[in-house]
Amino acid sequence: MAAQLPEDHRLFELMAIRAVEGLPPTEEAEFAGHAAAHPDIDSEAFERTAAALALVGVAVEPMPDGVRNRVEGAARVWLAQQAGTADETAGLPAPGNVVPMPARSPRSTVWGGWLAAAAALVVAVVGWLQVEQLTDDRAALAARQAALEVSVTRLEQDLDLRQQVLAELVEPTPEELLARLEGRPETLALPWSTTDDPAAADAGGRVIWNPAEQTGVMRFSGLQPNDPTAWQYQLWIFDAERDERFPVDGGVFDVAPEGETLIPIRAKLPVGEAVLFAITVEQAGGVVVSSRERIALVAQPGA
Amino acid sequence: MAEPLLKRVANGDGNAIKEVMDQFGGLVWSLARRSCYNPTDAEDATQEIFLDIWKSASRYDESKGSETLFVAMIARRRLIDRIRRQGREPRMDDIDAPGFELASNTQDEGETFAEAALAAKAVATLKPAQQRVLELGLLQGLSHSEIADMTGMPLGTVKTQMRRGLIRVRELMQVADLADVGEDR
Repeated sequence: MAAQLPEDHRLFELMAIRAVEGLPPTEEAEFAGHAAAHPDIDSEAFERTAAALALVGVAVEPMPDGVRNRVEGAARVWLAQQAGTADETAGLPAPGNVVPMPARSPRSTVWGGWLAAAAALVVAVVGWLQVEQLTDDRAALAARQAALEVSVTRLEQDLDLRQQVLAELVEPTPEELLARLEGRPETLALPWSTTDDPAAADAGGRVIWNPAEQTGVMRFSGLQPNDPTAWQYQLWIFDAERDERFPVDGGVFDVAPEGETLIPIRAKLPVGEAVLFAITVEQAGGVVVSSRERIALVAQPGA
Repeated sequence: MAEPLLKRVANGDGNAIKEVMDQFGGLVWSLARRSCYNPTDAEDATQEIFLDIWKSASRYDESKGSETLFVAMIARRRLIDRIRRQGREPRMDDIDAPGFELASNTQDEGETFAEAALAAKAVATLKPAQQRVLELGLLQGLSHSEIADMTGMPLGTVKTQMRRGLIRVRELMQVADLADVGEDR
């Protein structure tokens, strides 16, 4: 025969809401009040029923090892805290150390006994509540600490990934670019040919171009240093797939007075098939379309 | 008779804590995955649930249900609490998931879900509207208000149906329990 539930509609309503969607703090307090007033009612009954129904059709999959390790870590912290709490309670004075009170009259002893018992009860309850609170706080802190540790690990991983991406985005130095492109089968390495232009009288070097990466490096030696405020060199890439009148702008650059110069190529448009690289002398800042009055160097595949 | 696992946890038995993870790890993880949007959230939830299980182990009363049921109850409580804290909607991708009847036919056999099977049988005896309210609230995780919106029932009716449904299922489960005890004798 089924056990009959005692009547307390409001408690039952709160129990049902609690079992289905949880209660906000105010109603949780109301629930606690009703539950305390009706200790004969199993206030978790609906939660258990709901849990039984929630188990219907659950396809249990094993807990992943990573999660297991994390929970085990939390378990160790929790156990350590439990042990710590036990130590704290162990530090309380032992009954044998209590100093006996002086004897009182029989009447006062009776009342005093009741008062002492009540006081001891209050102290015990307050102490128990404090220990419970402390345990709860520590467990919550442990959970938060474990969650933070996981977050930190994730952030570190994100940071590593971000640094890798940034490293890929940072433009390599001409030396790094040269090292990367040289030796690749598709990379072109073409020697510069001088013209009659005086700037290139003693010039040498070569142009490195990788059509797949659409990038390259120019190497110069003996090219006349320029005054960036007055004039600059500009690279043009003639593309077999474009109108010869409009070569691709390869960028404006300067040549320093000493040593060998390495200049990265920054083509403004995609280059299909490079058939000629030409260095012109232009006004400071370069031009959109070169007059080709001063062509200093050229490099041509197959030349 | 062996001491219940949760009682050993309550007594601070470290091995018991490991055994609880062995025995209920999959269940807790599966319940968390069903409730949470992403695995990260499910991991956090799983840890939170286990902490609560260890803390609450001393309150386990074997006369009121199995340890599996206790663990599932704590898990649901924590998962509901997380949904409330995050102020989010429950997962809606399971809204067309099978109801209790169909789900009970697809679940594993075994002691682990004995109470679930009883509960599913009990639900099958309810009126269709009551079954629907329980399915939406307990399988799909909708609130009373959301159930009212979805079904068109007044909120008060949803609450009443839910309360009566839970009471009825609980009563029927107790009857079944008593019948089992009678058969065992």
